[in-house]
Amino acid sequence: MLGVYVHIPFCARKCGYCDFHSVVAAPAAIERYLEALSGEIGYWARQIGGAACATLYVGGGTPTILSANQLEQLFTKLLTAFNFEPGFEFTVEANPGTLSSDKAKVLAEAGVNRISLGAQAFDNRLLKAIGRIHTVDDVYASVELIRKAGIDNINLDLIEGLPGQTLRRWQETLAKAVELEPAHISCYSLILEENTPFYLAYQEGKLRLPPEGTAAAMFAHTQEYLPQHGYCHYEISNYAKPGREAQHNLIYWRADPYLGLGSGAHGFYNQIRYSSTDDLEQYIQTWLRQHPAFASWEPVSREQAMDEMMFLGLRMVRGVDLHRFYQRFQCSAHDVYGAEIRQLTERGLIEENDGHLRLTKCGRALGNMVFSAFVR
Amino acid sequence: MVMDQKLVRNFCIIAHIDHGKSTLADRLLEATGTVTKRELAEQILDSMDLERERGITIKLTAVRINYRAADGQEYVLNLIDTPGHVDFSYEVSRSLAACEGALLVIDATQGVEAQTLANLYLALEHDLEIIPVINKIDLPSADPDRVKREIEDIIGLDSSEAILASAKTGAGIDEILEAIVNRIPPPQGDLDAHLQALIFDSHYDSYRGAVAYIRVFSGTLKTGDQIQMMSSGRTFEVSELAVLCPMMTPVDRLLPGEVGCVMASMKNVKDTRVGDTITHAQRPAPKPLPGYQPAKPMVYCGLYPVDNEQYVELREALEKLQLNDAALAFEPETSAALGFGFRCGFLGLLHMEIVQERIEREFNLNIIATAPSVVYRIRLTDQTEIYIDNPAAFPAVGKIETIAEPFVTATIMLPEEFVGPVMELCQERRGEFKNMEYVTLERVRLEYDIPLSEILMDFFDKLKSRTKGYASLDYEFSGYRESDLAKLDILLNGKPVDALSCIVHRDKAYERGRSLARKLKELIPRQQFEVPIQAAIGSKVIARETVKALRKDVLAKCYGGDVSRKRKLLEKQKEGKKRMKSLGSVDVPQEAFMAILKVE
Repeated sequence: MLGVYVHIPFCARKCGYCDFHSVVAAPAAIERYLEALSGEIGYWARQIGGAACATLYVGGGTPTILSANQLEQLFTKLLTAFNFEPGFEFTVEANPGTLSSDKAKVLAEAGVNRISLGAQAFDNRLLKAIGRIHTVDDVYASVELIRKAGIDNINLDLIEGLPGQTLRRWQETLAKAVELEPAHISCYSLILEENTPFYLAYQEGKLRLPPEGTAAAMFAHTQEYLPQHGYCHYEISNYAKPGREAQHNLIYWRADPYLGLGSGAHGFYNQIRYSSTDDLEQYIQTWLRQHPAFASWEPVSREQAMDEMMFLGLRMVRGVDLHRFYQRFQCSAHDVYGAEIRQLTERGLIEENDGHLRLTKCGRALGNMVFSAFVR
Repeated sequence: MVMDQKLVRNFCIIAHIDHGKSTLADRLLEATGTVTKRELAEQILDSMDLERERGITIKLTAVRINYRAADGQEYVLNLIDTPGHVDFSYEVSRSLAACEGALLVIDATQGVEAQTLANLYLALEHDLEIIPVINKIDLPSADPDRVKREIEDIIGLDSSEAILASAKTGAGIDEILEAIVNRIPPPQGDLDAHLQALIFDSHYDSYRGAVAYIRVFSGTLKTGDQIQMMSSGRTFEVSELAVLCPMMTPVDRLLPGEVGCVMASMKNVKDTRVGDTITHAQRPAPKPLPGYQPAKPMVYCGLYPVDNEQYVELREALEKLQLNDAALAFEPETSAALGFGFRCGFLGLLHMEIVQERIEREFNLNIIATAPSVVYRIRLTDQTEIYIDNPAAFPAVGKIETIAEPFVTATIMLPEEFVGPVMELCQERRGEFKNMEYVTLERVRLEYDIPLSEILMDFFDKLKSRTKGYASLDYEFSGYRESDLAKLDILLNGKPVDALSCIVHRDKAYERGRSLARKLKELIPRQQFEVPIQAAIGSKVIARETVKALRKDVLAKCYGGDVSRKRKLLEKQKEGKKRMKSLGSVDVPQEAFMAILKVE
């Protein structure tokens, strides 16, 4: 399984909590970026030499900030350069308020079969407070546009633990999301990342976050509520209707390879983890001269690869496939992590089931305790 | 070359910590061309990394200096370094025995301090010629006249003999060198007499085996000689003799009064017991030189590997350290909570900290140290007497008739204005007032008898903070006294943790129990479950705190394909856990075992 990720580092506006690589840029810069990006697309196409690709994920930033025309050209380039398997999952991230019917049509015609929509909350006050440009109505409008264009595999991204959010309001957001019947729901926790406006405000005591007990209750409620409504919990933050799990994200958690294209993107190919420079201008100028613009390039040792397979795999509710671990490394996870597995099992944080090692319900809330045990 | 004894001077430098002893030594080496400025990258005599970082001397070393004096003669000056900290007074006395004179260095801004005096008394016991040196006169706050008065009043030396110097600028250095030559007597001793050489230090070298640092008092030692250790009777053949200038330089003989080192295929530093006398096997001296009392550990703590599988590595590390540190004692012990480890004995707290740090740094082992304990003398109901250095090993209450604990006589020198707060501190620490005298108009010398265990409890830091850093402390063991003591147990999750037990005075048991439980609550990170902390005396719980459960700790954020970042976040979390010991299902950080030292 090889996935392809493409990063579009542009937004209409930066949100207070977001530390992903993205800027508010002039149209001319976007144009030049896409030209540079097509250089990188060509480079990777030559590198992988026609290998079959299982997924394509265009994320950001806000990919739908590109014009219909720009989107069309980008997709054409990607689809000609890489050899995608028939029926491959093709996801594009979209933000409500940046999607028009033109764009939706372009997406559908290009073969996009999955849209991940940054809904974040069904609560206008909260949306405004966190710096989103859209309202709840925009979310409804976007879903309708997407469905009209013929794309039925929709993910809604939601954030729990927002400033001022109560358990009650989170429950309402979840209920409204479920009413829309998307195929997939991602519930991420708000994490204060350094150098974000939220972080600074929090440091200055100007931002009140829900207490840990409330955050834990939200997390617990989500795990109870969504499965009751037909969404299968398959990763710490992800829920899907049967058969609608995000194939691209599964590649990450299974420690399978993926290409990362675009400024600030991360990839994992040939046992090398690499990233491209997040200096947009540097990225553009370097690729325009047809030179790779990588910022890091780190071979993953056998030991690290084992660790990664464990701490990424444990994120999946089903857990790490121990047989696959054995196949990949020719030794059993028990031989490598015997003491850790024993201790975490005794503490009721992990369990073995059906050839998989997985987090218990209690372990899911305290995942970091478990993951860090597998880092050497 | 046959050395003329009259041209040899053996001296040491004694000072309170931080009074500039090492810098002064450097200047002497530099001024005499023993080392060049470039070689003298840092303080030469302090060769252990740790020593340099902490700015203290731990192990002593000897250096040979060639000096052409004003009288035109070429002299050999042997500088024998001494440690400046109260823990190491045993090592100070070792080096003093090898000298005829001492430079007494006093900081011109600080004046005479407690350790200045302690070391001075030691030097006087050894009949050394004392040359007072008032150092740091270049500093704006220097007050040499006040220090001179203190020298007359406190020390009783003629202050006109004091040399004003600055190791930093080099002022007074020539004067010091001339004073060493003119005021310190040359060594005595007959070239042809029976050999008597005092071992004042030793170290282990992986190529040469044990190396003994000696001072020859009488007779002549040559390479190839059959030598005998007078305490053990073991004999060796001298394979190499050297002097240190400052690197080892081979010589073929050492004459009376000379200082150097001996290598004789001795496999173990135990063969070169410090304080022992070396003589010739064929023509032994009738009696050994007066030796020293072997250092007795005053403070004990348990050292355990965080990872139980590193037990053997920890033992090897301790064995290696012991090769160069005769004062370090250890034996295996087991703790129900911590598993297999070692009970280790130290000269004092600083010695303990240094050994712990060396184990972690030089041997790359993660260790847990339990709170230091003194050695209690317990009389059992059957009238037998036992010594216990580990609270966990205390006999059952019913079997104890009396408990005695070690007391020390603490000497504190401080500005007069702080006498009140310091006396209060000493009272709080069960101190018994012995004496107070005004050494000058504004400086006071206080003497208290205090339980050593109270000194271990952060006493020095407290003393410093109550006197704005102006007090200095020295103490020596004064004997055992009966006290009303009780064992305070700590229970985590309802289970007693032997390694957290401590001995407290009954009057303070409640207070200590409560604040220890509070402190532990701060130190023990939140875990999966709620962790009750209880402090108990016997079966009676006297304090209870609870560490609340951690309810949510998971990276539930979309980091996409940025696995390196995830890994870094997890590594950081793991790093924090490295210094924690799992006791059942509770992870306890290293600091928790030391918490008792920090409670009020």
